[in-house]
Amino acid sequence: MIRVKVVAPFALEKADRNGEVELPDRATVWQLMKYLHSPLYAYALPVVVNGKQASKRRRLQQDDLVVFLMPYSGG
Amino acid sequence: MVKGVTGQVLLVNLTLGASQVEQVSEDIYRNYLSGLGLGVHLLYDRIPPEADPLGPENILGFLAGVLTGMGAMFAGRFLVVGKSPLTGGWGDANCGGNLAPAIKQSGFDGIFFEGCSDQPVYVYVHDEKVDILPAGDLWGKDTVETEDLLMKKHGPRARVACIGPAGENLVRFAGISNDHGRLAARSGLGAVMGSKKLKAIVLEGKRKVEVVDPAVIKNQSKAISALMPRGKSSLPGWSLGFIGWIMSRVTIGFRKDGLMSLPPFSDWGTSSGNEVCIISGDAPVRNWRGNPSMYPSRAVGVGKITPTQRKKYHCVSCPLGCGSICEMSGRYQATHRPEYETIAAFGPNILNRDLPNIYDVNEYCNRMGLDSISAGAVVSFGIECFENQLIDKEMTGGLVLKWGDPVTAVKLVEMIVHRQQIGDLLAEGVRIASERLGEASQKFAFHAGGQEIPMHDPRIDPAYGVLYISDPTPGRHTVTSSTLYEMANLWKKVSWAPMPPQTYPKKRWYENSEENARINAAGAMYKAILDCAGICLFGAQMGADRLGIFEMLNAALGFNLTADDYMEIGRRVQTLRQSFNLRHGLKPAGVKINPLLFGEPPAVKGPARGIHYDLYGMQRRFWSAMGWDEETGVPQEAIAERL
Repeated sequence: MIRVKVVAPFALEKADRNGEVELPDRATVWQLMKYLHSPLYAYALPVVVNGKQASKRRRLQQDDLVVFLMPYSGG
Repeated sequence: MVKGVTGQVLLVNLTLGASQVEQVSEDIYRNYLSGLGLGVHLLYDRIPPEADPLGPENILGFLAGVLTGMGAMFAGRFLVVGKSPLTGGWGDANCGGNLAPAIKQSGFDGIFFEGCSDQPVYVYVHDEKVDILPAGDLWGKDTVETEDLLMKKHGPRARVACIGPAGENLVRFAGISNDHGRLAARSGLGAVMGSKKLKAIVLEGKRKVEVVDPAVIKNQSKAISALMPRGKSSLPGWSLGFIGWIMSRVTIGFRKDGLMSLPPFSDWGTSSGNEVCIISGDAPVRNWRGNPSMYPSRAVGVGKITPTQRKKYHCVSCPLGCGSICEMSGRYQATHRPEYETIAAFGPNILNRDLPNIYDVNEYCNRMGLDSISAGAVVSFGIECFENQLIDKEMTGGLVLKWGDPVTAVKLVEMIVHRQQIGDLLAEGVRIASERLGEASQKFAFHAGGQEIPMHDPRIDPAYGVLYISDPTPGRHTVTSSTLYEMANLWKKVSWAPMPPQTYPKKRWYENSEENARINAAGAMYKAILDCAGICLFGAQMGADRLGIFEMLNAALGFNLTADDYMEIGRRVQTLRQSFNLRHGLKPAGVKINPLLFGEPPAVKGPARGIHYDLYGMQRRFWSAMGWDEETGVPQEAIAERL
């Protein structure tokens, strides 16, 4: 199993209070989203893993930081 | 001797042509830190209540924050402070660029100017030495040309802050430029500088400040850098507007995390939010009376901006680099990519779809040293007055002011800078202009206490509205908002800061609740700390936990304060700013905004339709949460005594 941290614009009910989620080894971003029961709109959002843009087929590793992108309004 | 700071400030008297160095006691740093806190502490007693903001008794200051100049990430901001000619109260302006570390390197935590020269001068501060030099040959030149000439004279290590013709002509919303067009724009402090006939300051030096625990700063900065986006982004430009459209239709709100917006921020800066802001109703359309259906967001979307971007740049100490130089044609060849505020002010706010024209106006405002937020607000006010026959062609020199007309935007701003024809009235700002045009014009004026409202609709986020009317520098979008608070993660560090739920009904933002009051108060106190530290608001979006601001402050200063202790300093700084206004005869309860902005009457179309909220009720609770009287906004005795 691996633990990854998730930052997302939806409820992370299966994450711990630090936003960490346990997944099987070599799980993909897609599988992470399904595990989290991501809402439909989340599938339209770009994803960044460890700061680099990634496809949803990207296989995750221990301690990866997965961030769903949202433009910020303001400034 | 406190570490992390220089321990001294410079006072320059432009009437006498003299200067003196003043030591700052440890007590002051312990209670006010540096930057904004030091500035308001020093000026509170020294600017007399009857001082004319454009007269010799006003004092203009430039300050660096605690964390500037020691390798701390995101610590490249400086503050300009003084009495504002727009509001008659406390004024400050926060700015990036390259000036901030030069303030400390020249030998001081702050440099202050009192009096007025009888001839244009500039002041050269180098390794604690001060020269007041003639600037007659610079007067009338734009900010870019001025900076280039001064750097040619003093060398490439010199850093320059200067005014352009707007400040020289005492346009009330003139700003101060550094780094070729980065503006300390708000509060009209460029006019204060112009009133002193101070064209520029040039700073240079090698002073280093000692830090108590440099390893903490270094390690924290490495940790921050590790979170930055990597590699070239392949985000398609159209995706941002699409995402904005989707999210505006989602009926629940979700707690924002600043990491979500870092990659688009890195690629397009605040312009990454142009389409989201328009689609969501956040951006004003047609002087706040329109709605998004009247303006195609893609006209100013990143799809149009990307092909113009030539060179990314970073402010000093910034690992993100949200700036870019954009190519253009016409009278200027290049400009800083306009911020969202400028795009909105000269785009949807006046129904102008011409992005090259917006770039041109952006560069013109930068070179003239003019606050583009206020300029756009004044232009939209002018157009609406013209449409309603309160301004006529005789007053405009024959110019017909029209919505969506690029010529209107350019010509009117030129008239304002040079105070020609109707520009002379509009250069006073919308409050004075509407007072002079008469009551019928006042419903077209959008300001708070004299400061033109920025490009965020409080009907979409009421927290903006609360701070527009309640911050001692009214009309500010950079104090806090619901989104800014969520991204700050303050509840991870501050014992009393509320934690917003991960998802929530959107109407939660509109509740006149104790929780919202504490959220807004926490945001306001935190912003004061950021401005004492010299930290960029966009860096703060990473979250107080990831940024490590409290830890870095302790490591720099050698203090052993908790986050709660620092928030108390933030409260103290905000309270002193509020007290400054009271001392200068302003009544906090007298700051009102156009009732349209709290839904009186409610909009009938668009995302703001039907929205009405209890703005002044929320303000009362905010004041109470700050420890100020909830009816008057006057700091309560117990709080005032702690000053």
